[in-house]
Amino acid sequence: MAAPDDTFALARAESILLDGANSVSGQSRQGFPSAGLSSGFAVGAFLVAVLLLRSRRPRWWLAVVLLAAAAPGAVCVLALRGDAPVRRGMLAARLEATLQNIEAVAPWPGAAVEVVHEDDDVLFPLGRYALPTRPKVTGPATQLELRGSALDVSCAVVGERTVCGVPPP
Amino acid sequence: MWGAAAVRALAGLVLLHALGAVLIALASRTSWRAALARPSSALVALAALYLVSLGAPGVGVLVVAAVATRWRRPRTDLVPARFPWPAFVALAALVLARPWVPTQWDEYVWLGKARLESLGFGAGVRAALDASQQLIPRGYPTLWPSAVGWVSLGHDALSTHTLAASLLVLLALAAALDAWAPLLPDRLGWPAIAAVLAVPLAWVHMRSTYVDLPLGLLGVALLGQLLRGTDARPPVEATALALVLVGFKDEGLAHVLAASAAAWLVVGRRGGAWRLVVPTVLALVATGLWRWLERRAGVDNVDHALSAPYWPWVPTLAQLLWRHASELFSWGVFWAVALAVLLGRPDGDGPRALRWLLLADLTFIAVELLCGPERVRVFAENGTLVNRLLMQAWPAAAGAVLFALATAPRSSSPRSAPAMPAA
Repeated sequence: MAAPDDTFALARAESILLDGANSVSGQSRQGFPSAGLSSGFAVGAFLVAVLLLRSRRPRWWLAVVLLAAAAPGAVCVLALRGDAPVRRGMLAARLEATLQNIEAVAPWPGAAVEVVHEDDDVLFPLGRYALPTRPKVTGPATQLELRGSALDVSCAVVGERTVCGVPPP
Repeated sequence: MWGAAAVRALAGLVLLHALGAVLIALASRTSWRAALARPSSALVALAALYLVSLGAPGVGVLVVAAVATRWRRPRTDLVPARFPWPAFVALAALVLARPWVPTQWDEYVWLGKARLESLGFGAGVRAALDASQQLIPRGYPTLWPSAVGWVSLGHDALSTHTLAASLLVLLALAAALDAWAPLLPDRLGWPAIAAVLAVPLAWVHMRSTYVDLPLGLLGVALLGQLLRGTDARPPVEATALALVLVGFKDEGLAHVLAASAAAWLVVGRRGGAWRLVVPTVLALVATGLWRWLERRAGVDNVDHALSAPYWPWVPTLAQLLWRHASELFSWGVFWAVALAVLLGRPDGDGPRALRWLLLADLTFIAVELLCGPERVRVFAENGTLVNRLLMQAWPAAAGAVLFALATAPRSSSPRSAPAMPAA
């Protein structure tokens, strides 16, 4: 399996979980560092499309333009992203293992669990799957914390709380 | 484990499909055997189950919907169109050939709510209407996760939920293809199809379980069904699609209104008003019912509460839309070409209707961002929202671009895009 390219914004599993659906390369989250280049291509393609649509030329040239312009994004999807086909199996295994660690200490709906802290980061969505409902618990309950910004976390009892991820200092 | 997931999810879809076929037979002049052959029959079952899951008021709306649909059913059955099975099966294989584990944020949040259906039918609605359960996002319609739970037959497993949701994505695609198959030009050509499908972000969403792409596909499907309707009466599927759209997400109502407006602008003045009125009114009633249930339960939906437009943000909105739509890696130059198509003069009812639908979709994106709460604009500026809204508009744009690519140059041949049957 090819190693992820750390210079690519969506190469890591964590970045796919956070931003994988929001763009293909992470540009939207980074404030569009290639906006000038993209805008240039877009304006050029728009002019070409207007000309082709109003001319007698065959329109399959427009299909060629669309296909050629999709190539950079296709490279990201097929090779560079953390969910590229060659890495998808490993990504799925890591996510599943992390989720199972959380579910082991917070089985739903049977156990009384109170989420007392959850970072707005990679464990948040997994915690939401593990515990989709969060009714107020009266009586003894597992006090759960979901912390940190990395997958592959384990859960441990720290004091009176069960912490999945990086325990607080 | 994955074998069990496949058996459960496929069995669930087959059951929904069979139920949908029976409902179509009851509400129209279609035999249940013919309805079984329709690829998107399961959507009719989903619409009915959604209303039932809302309790007694929902059952009331279902009865009204059934009566209205049967009363205004087409006098003749729709001519079954040739469904592009080879292309669909190839796409389905590409979509499903992945580990059935979610990989993106909202997938976990939505599929988590699908787990509720393992507690019993309608548990998702009951939890959504109980503020103490602290579901997120708060106050959203429940059908998307509930439908995942129903297709999963209540099997509480991550792989089953993921596969079930992917099957629903494919069901939305099937609905769009089913509705538009008779309206597309005879010869599309593989280069045109490949060019329209060559949108990298669309493939990311196809192989995901986000609801944005299904919403757009169902909006296009609704428009196709409204255009297809014979003798100015809406087919059952149109009503079902409208109800499913508003059940999946609040934006679904915008898609219903957009599709209805686009259809009205093309065929409404030819006496086709009924085909538009029944699905749209029922969608509005279902939306109103959900909002009433929410208010009664003290659950507020802050994400989609519209207010007066925040005009100072207009320049930012324009910049964000341009930057997202022109971003080469996510979209290639798709939106630049779509804009050129939008400014052209489409031939035929189908292309014209798609152009109006796209315009309406883009308008609703602007309205949602300008009139939504502050947090919506924060999401947009953080780069986590606009592309997903554009994904909802992508199917309409893809249809318009496909027609443009498949249509011969104006001077070399007369119209090659077929006109709709007269209403």
